[in-house]
Amino acid sequence: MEFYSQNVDISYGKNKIVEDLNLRIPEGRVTVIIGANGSGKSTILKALCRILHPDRGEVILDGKNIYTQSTKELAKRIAILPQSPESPEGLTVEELVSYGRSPYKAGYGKLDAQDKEKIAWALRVTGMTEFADRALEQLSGGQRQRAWIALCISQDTEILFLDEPTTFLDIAYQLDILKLLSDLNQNYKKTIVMVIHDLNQVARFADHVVAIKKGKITCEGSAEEVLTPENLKQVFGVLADVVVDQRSKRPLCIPYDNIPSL
Amino acid sequence: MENQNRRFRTALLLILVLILAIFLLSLTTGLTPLSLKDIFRILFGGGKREEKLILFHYRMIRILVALLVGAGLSVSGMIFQTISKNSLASPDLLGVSAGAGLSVLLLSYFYKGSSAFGIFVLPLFSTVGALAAAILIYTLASRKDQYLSPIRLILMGIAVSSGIHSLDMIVSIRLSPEQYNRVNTWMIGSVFGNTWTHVLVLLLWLMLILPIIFYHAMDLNLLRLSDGIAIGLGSDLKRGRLAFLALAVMLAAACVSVGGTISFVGLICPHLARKMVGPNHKLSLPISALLGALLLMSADLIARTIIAPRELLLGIVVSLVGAPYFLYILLTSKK
Repeated sequence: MEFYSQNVDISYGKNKIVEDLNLRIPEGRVTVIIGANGSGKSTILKALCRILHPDRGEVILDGKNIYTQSTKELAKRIAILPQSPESPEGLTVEELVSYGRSPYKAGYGKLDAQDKEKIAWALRVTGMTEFADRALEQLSGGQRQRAWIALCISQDTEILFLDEPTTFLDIAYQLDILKLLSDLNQNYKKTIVMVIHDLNQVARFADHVVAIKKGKITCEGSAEEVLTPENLKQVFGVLADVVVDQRSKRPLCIPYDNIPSL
Repeated sequence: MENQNRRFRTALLLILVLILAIFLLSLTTGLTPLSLKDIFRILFGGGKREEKLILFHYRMIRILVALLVGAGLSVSGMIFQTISKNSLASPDLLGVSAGAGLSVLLLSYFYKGSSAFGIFVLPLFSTVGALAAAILIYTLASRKDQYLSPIRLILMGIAVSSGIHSLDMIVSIRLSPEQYNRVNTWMIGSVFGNTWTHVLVLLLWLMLILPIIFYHAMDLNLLRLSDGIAIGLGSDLKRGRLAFLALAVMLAAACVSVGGTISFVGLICPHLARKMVGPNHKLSLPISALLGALLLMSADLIARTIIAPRELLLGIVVSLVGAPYFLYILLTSKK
């Protein structure tokens, strides 16, 4: 798989949000996009997975521009979990997860044995089997997020995009979700691209980190390469100590102050 | 999902039995009561001339029109609620009622001929008016290079509809009392005064459009989710929304042209259907259609019996039931 963006410009109205973005997504790895609020990281994620069409430039998946391809065909290769998705009242977890099979279905889309197997598998991997018959609004925030991830998994794609999948969850659920994603990456070879805010979680779970400032890539590389005091100063405007976490041997960021404004 | 399927089967059976019961009850009830025995005798070719007239002309036509209009409006409402992601939206907001209303008013103002001509010209005119208003709303609500925004759609629907309603006022001031009465009856909604041709045309129309909608129930399911999720699952938002809105407008326009602008059916039946079987359109669309049929058939039966020998307008009965249910939705909805 080869997946990259080429000279992508995106603007909202007259404001240019992203300029000349050239970003390559490594296959089979966990890529995390980081950046301050309003840096354009969510916008970049949306453009990469075709939710947003750029003013200029292309996003190429295996030699073909994704904006000119059939969105249904792409849905067999790319799954998307946007921020705070909504579901209609009364929709059960199993029904929602069954929607993940629709890219493979024409018209009425009756589920066959293979679909049912994928749905059961998605529910099992995410630990949602016991909640299959519950309506989404009856679940806790963490369970609901697992249900949405189960939807993306039943879609059985090689690439998974997630926009802040851990926001609004308590720390236990955050770890839970990230470990699940890490498991999907390692055991099912899924390429994962996501935005998360907590830098120490980035350090622990990302293979590849892309730091964005004002719609441009400031630096990218491994967590060790990107999460340095200089980069944190530049990208987030914070002063931080970066030490090595004794348990995971990954960087640990301890911000202690903002850069004094001039 | 077994749960939902079981509830679906129960609901389906229950509503079908009720529809059959109301159908037979409506055939027997009226100024000249007929027993079930009489009904079957007349159906199988027996019966006096006037009995046949009562059964086939007066009763059967209006029952079938009520059934078809109810089903059509209800499915149209379901689609519109789904596309606009708002369970309080109604097909009225598609501009169909307003557009059809204005064109019928204009027709009555300029055309003073016999009503026999009007029977066929009126549906045609109201359909054209309905489509024109819907296209206007859609055009105003869409923006270049953006997916149609549900909120803009609803706001434009409200704005355009009230604009047209004020035009209605201006035209209706200039009508004679007799003309005004005729238009008013149509606007409130009534299934009386139609012919077998109306029934057949409406039936063919529904048989053409409803299967297309039911067949694509999964696409509607996706359109109900957040934009990003729907795109991720392979939904073509722009095309999908346009196609379903067009189908909903065509359904509603045909129904309104025959039954008048009956409100509330398209609002409460989809809501009730979702309460019964959940939001999966594979289940909720058929239930919604049947509930609409059942509601209008029952309302028509009540309308023509409650103050017999006089008749209430069907639309008034529906509103009497619909308004409290609407309030109930408002008071119990979480958002």
